[in-house]
Amino acid sequence: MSNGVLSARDPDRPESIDVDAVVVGLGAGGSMVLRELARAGLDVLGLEMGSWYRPEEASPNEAEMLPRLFQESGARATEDFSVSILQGKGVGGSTLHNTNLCKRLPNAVLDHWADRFGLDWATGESLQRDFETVEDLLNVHRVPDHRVNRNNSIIESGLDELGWDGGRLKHNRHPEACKQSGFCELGCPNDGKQNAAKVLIPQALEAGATIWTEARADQITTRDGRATGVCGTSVDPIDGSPGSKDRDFTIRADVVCAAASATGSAALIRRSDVPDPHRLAGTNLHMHPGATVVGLYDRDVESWSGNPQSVECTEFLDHSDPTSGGVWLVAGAAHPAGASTFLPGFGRSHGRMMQSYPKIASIIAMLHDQSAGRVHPADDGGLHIDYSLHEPDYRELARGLRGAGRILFAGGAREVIVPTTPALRASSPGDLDGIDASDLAPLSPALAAVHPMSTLWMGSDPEESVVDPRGQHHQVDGLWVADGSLFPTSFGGPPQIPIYTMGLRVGRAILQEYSSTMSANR
Amino acid sequence: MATPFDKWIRIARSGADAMAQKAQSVGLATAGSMARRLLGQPRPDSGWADWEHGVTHRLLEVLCDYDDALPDPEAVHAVEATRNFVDTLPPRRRSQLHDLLAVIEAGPLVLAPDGQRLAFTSLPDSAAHTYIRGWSESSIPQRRAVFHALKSVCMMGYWSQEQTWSPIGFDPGDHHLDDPRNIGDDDE
Repeated sequence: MSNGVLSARDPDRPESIDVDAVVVGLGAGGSMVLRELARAGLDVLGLEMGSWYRPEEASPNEAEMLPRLFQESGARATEDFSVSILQGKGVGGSTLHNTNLCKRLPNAVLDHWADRFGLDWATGESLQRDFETVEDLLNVHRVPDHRVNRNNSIIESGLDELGWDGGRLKHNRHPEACKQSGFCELGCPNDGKQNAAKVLIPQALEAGATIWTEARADQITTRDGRATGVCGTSVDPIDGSPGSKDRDFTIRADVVCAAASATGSAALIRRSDVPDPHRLAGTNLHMHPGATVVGLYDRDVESWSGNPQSVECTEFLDHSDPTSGGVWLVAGAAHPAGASTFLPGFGRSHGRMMQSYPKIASIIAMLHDQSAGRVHPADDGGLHIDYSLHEPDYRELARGLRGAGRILFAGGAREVIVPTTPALRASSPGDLDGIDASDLAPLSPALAAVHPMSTLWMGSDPEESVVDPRGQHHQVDGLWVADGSLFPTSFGGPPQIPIYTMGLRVGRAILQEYSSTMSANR
Repeated sequence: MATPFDKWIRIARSGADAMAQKAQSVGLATAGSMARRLLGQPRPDSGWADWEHGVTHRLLEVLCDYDDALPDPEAVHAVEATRNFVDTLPPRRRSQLHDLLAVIEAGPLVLAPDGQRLAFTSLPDSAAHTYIRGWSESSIPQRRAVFHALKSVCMMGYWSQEQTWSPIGFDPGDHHLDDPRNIGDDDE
């Protein structure tokens, strides 16, 4: 492994160590904090449940890659199985498998956060400057014409035809290293992503950070209202099973930063002896759940080839009313096993759809959800997720499914399949008009979510939020959060740039607080 | 004279789709346990029991009952691939999958698809299809959830096999660094 990276399963790994700071989880937020603290000269340790992934280890086989790059092999789901939750693991977290979409937080959402949650910085120029810093660091740029694949071209032409809002997205791929393999969600085989693992982690290691992989934090330790470290254990990087008791570890640290995602961080904090007088931690879970609508074409689309997502439709997103929600539409390509899951039914009819695989284009209707769920720690060190959609979100989802179908027809589809129960096979746009919230229910359609957020949200009022506007826990000094948990609401877009940016800001706030605490102690 | 089997039938029939509803109301583990008792099969200490292997095999036969242009699940070792994938899941999730296999195997003893009160693996093809369709199109979300979870892992087992790719026209190319499909850089 690289210098500074050690598996927690390594027999030479110490049982306990003292560091200035420990960062739990090395996705977009945690990697950024690790980099900031290391570059400032702190002795900082990053803990990551998964392994150190290398592009040359990539395989085009989903059954091989999902167990390595996704929590619970991609089979994580809500307790009622109605929403699959795809979350990353490994050094780099979900940035290893995401499709590199880059958007800033919408201004209307930031205005709402400032008004409702007291996040004064949300409307200031400093946030926009930080977005710019992150975008420069990760080489964010508009997807050029020659990198728009046929699935996305269909969406683009459909939007033109309908006159709907939307357009080209930005991404953080390396212009030369990205070979357009289309395997983004299985880990780039060509190191073409300018992600946390490629950009931030090497800089953190260069600056002296240490990383333990295959390490699960089980508890945050505290004393007298102050974080004192983390206890954990080594785990199997595939199924997450803990090692033997003698592989447990204790990290003593002045600063603990939870960056293990809106599910992982919430479960960790709830499992720990962290005061929660208003019972907020783990609640308020949003996750942009979505369903995939499929169009069948007479020509080859080969949606698996090239950049999977480069065009968005924002026609059904209205951020002006913070309680109205909406739905965001974006391409929904998948490799064969993934596609076979979202294509409805089984047997002969399913086989015929799979035989049309090269002629399929798809769109995910992803909710800017107002519904809220809850994360609970499980006895085995894992977690449970409760979440169900309420009626207004079902109405928005129905609107999104109709809209996705119309775009696919406008892009030339001869048939559109909506995965309700039973599936709707529409042969003209008019057939979509009947899709109504009353047709929708858990598992009709099956939903998938890739953006869990909001479980440890920021706010100025300790009775109505879990962490303060800088990201420090309201009840425990020295305990910080730096992942999607921080967002007070959902926002209907890709969260990676906002999470990286929160990591940058939280890292900076930790340094400020740390230096003043250390000065006072001296 | 009533047998223990009749007793469990009575319990299971106490409400329509009892086991599926139990899966959520009192926990999947309870439903799985109930199904295993109905089947007279203990939970294996570890790994897979032969009967669970048989249920997976039959499920793949039904779910992937495609036409001749697509390979048979047996030919691509889809059962083994499904088992291998399930074995990568965390222990709790893995245990749930085993519970679902028990529920799906015991279900026909209660639901009697096409009037046949047999374990799923003993149902003739037509009844097996009717039975699985009943889960996939049920008006009860818990039953659709059982179908969805089992379909997901079985499809992973089948469609992750490379032999299934070319019959549907999927070509992953040589996706590593020497991939010839470099179609230009981003400078515009």
